[in-house]
Amino acid sequence: MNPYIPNTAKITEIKDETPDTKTFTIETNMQFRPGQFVELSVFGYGEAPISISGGDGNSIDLTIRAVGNVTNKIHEMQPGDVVGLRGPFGNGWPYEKAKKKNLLIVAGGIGLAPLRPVVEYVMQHRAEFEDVTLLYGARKPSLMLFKYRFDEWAKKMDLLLTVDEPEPGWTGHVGVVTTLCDKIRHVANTITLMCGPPVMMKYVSMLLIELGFPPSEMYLSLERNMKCGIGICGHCAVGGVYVCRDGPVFPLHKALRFVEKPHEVQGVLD
Amino acid sequence: MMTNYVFKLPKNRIYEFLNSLIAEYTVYAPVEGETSRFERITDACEVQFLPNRTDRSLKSIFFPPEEEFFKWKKEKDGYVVTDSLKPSPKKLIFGVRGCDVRALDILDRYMMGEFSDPYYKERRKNTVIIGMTCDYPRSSCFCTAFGGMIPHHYDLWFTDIGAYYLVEVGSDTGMKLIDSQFQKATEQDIKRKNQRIEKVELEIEKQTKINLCETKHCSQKIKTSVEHPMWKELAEICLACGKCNFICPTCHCFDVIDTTNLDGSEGARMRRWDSCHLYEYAKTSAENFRKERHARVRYRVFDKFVFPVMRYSTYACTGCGRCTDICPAGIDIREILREMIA
Repeated sequence: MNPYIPNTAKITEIKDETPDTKTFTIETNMQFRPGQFVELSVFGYGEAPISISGGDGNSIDLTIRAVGNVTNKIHEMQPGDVVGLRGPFGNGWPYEKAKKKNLLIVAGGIGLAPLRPVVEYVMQHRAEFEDVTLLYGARKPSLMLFKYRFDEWAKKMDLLLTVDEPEPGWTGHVGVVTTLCDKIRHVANTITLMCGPPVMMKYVSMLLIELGFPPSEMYLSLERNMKCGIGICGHCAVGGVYVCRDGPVFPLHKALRFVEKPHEVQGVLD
Repeated sequence: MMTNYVFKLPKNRIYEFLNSLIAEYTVYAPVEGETSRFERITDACEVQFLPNRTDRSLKSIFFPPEEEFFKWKKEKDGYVVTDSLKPSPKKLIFGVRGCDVRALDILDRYMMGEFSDPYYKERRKNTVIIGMTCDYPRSSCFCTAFGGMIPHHYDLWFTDIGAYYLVEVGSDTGMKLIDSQFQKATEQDIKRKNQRIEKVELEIEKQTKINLCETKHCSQKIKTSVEHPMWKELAEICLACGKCNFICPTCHCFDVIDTTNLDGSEGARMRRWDSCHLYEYAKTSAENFRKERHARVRYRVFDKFVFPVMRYSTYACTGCGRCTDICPAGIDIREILREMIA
């Protein structure tokens, strides 16, 4: 098996999430762990690493913001169009560690995409966990992903939402994600999973540590430019680890010990 | 290692020997053009017997600057993808220096160790290595910092001892290449070889003045230099051009790119050498994680002397000195190391 050769796969459904983000459902029998990613090919445009935001054994969902060559092109594509997939790659979230414990999920912006499979797992196996809290922040209400799932999610977990800039009709919380942290009910016995912009993860980490969360039970997913996905091309290397193979999910206490401190945790515990 | 198996070959027989190898293998040997490098030879007379390492390393034989992964073609109902991986001929490389043999060992760990690269693996398998002792060092050489001129793995090793080459056998494959032209080496020959090596290594040591053989200890020392002011000083003079990456026999980073014809109906996926010194290297859609030049300068040094030690228990440097020779800003890796190890 040549790891550089993608399998071709058909787009079956496209859902608008925000003005610049869509969720593509792609036909594939790929088995994955929540938190893993694929290398998505748009032939002639190249490859981009994309987190898997859902899947059912017959398809996977990729929630993609149009920001580059490949992602802009896939935004022009229609159901029935064919892309290429390699993967899945990476370690994924250690959500099993939260069984019989509290689970705290912190997401910012498009960072909710790789966490969504964990949220949906919780929806189907709610009894395996104690308290479950999802903190989700976005720049504006119109930039929130998976809004159509919020009502369902709120039935089974504490769903705390916040935006930086409100828009007409928004009656919820305003402020960065850290301003929601005082609403977290449990500190002890809690596994935290977080994904979002580096600056968000940095301040959330600082605050949670201050609140008493041990860094060894906080996990963060690092975003890097994985080009090969198999630990060779070097682009995702940070401080001696390959984010594509050793990550993308790392416990905070390990990320803090990287020889070259990742931006996401610079200043944490300094 | 079969150090008992030591032979000698009269120098005037070397052409005959090489031509017999050419009959069986695709043979690469040092050739001098604008720069000296390893090229495929079809006759022994093309070989240049250089006194020390070539300007270019072996890297591009196994990991070319550009390489096609696959071709794709648009069909009525999707795409057809055809792997471009081709069987590679049996290779023999003649005249390799110790630094470049070590470099291959290191590349092997990156490309065929924990993770596996099928294109590299195909080119690398069944490669026979005939190494050669340097007559005198280049001014940038510092292989003695890593254990000297003679590497651990080779098939045959040649040392010029006057009228003969002394030939040491390092593997079964090497032994099979020994034919009737080779004579048993005498104690005197071996002594002469040792003297020769000692003499050259002494010269290298004189210009190196650094010893990195205590890998763990040295790597640890370098590791603690994250905040050293030297990185910012170096960033002032480094041009971030990436030449040191491209010339390095162990640097193996690559970018992945697509090519296409005008109407977008067919094309290929390629990889191309990339450099961690370039501004775009660690850029994602959201952020550039090594925007500052000093972070990139430091990263490269760490990726030679710290990270590979943590992961693969080896430096990713062999002391070939090519980065020092080629740097347009005159940065000498030995000075950086002396500063950190001292």
